[in-house]
Amino acid sequence: MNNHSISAEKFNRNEEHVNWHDTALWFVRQKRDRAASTVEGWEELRSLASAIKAHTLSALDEYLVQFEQNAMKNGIYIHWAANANAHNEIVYSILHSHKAKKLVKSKSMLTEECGLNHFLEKKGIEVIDTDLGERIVQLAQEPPSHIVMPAIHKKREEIDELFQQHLHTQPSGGDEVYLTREARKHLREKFISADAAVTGVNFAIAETGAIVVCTNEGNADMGVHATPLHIASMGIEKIIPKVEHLGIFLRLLARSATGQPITAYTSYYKSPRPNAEMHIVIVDNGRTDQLAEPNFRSALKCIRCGACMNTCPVYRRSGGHSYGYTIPGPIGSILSPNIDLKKYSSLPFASTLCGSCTDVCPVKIDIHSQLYQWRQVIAEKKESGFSKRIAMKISAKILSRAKTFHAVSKISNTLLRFLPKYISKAIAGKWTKQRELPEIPQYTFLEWYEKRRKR
Amino acid sequence: MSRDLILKKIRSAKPDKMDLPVLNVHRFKTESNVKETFAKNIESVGGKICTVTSKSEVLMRIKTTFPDVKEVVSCVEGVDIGTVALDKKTSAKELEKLDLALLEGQCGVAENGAVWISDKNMFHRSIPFITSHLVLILSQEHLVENMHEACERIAHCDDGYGVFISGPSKTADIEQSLVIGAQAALSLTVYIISNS
Repeated sequence: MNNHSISAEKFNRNEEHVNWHDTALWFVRQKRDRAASTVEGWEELRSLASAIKAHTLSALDEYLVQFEQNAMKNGIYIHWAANANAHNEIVYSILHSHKAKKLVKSKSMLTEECGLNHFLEKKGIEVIDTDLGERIVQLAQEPPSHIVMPAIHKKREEIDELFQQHLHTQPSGGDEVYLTREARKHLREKFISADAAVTGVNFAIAETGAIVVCTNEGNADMGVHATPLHIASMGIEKIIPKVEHLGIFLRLLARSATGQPITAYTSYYKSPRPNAEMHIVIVDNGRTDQLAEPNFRSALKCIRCGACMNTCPVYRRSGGHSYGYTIPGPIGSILSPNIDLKKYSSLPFASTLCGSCTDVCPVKIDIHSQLYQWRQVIAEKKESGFSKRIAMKISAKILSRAKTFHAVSKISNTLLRFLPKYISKAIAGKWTKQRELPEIPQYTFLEWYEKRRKR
Repeated sequence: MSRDLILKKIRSAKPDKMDLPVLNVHRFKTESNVKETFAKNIESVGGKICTVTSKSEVLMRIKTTFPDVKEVVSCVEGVDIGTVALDKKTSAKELEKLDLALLEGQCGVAENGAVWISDKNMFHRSIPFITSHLVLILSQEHLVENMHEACERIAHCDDGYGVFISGPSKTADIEQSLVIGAQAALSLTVYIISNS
């Protein structure tokens, strides 16, 4: 079982670094605000996007079939995978039938979710992640800590050392221009010599059978056009009905993600070039289970912009790795319990329920209320920690009986006032770990109230 | 079979049919000057923009702005600056050292500085990415205000591939410091051919 607060504590040991992480992500959130404020009708765009996704989910089977038919007409091979393992087997079998040994990959959270890299490497295939941030974490043998900025947790000095070790660069003190140019040389060699390219999918358009991939680095296109085989992996929820809807989502995506008006490249792949092959793997892996949950199905509207992470006060101060799930942050905390309730039972509690995630979500997912609802499910199924359950039980007993409550509050008021600080803090529990207790008043609220009434 | 299993699960899991909202994209129109906004946004995404009156002016300007380029591809009729011969068998490897590529854009989007190009504009799909410097020319009359109008135009595109390009390749993956020139083009220049 992953415990968010324990992992977060580790991240917090380096205060300077946490402060940097917090500020850097908040800066991205502010850029998002500036970008959003320049768009006429921004809130209406969010509502439209949300409604289009809701409609699409309510007819998902029809749209998937329409997408499949149109893509096949365009000469694309379509595969279906019920789970992660089936996805990995399909990708491997395609690569194997093409005798492909070297693979270049652009960013795809789905292939992270499925553990594709590890699976293929065990079969002897070289897998190179080609997004710079993903390449950095791949060299460090770590998972991404953010879905849009995979290496946001890494300091430049660490990256400098990684590159010296793996790409034989000169020590540069973390010079970003030098390191980016060296990565460019290294990755361009890989593109040119690769046998196949794997990409994710941002949007799949039912009407035309095309897929859309957004990157800033141009790495998806560098790989796809240099190799004879393109495999794209997509979750079933990536479907949108028509090209006219693409306009709405593209206006929202990059502005919400990084504050850019659009990514540098928005590529529309409808059919392979002559003498090349294109395959799309459509993956379920728990998504239909989520669809079956009325309270939680709207999480499938997510377009993976990461805005909820950038704004979250808990994410910014605990880092993506503390969540222990492929998709961290608020959205990951409402997706992961559906995958494994026991393993991810601490994640819906990694929130102050402040609602900032809901406020910035471009497709208006009610993230914070779903976090709250997952807590109810977890408590009911007794997946929350033992001490939390006991504490809740005792609190319920005290709070539901007026006399007991008054007695307990009077005793604790007196105790907290006169006991030494270290003991009173211990009584107040984990909350006081990094906080001081407030000044304890002379009397309880009820005593104060009675006194006033008598006057 | 996975396909039938997934579709069956969706049918039993999905909610009651919800309506597809009606789009009124005129709602998003503004009073802004399309050409000015386009120019401002090209610059804000790290590109350069220049207004010219003819294709022959583009030729002259490229020669003065990029005097040192050796391997050049032109996919624009009437601007013969190409030094690399292309045919159907040209591979990405042969284009690896490409210094400059000139392509004609079909549509420019004011709100984000993006230019749409598709198969018919590029001869080989690698060209706009693998080149060090990408130069696009675009008629002023092909500017639209926003992505709604742009998507209306591309909806009926017959080509197998197309891309919106907004500025040169870029990354901020090292401590959020922006670096222009990641894996694809190091620079982008757009020449607008004005109506007058």
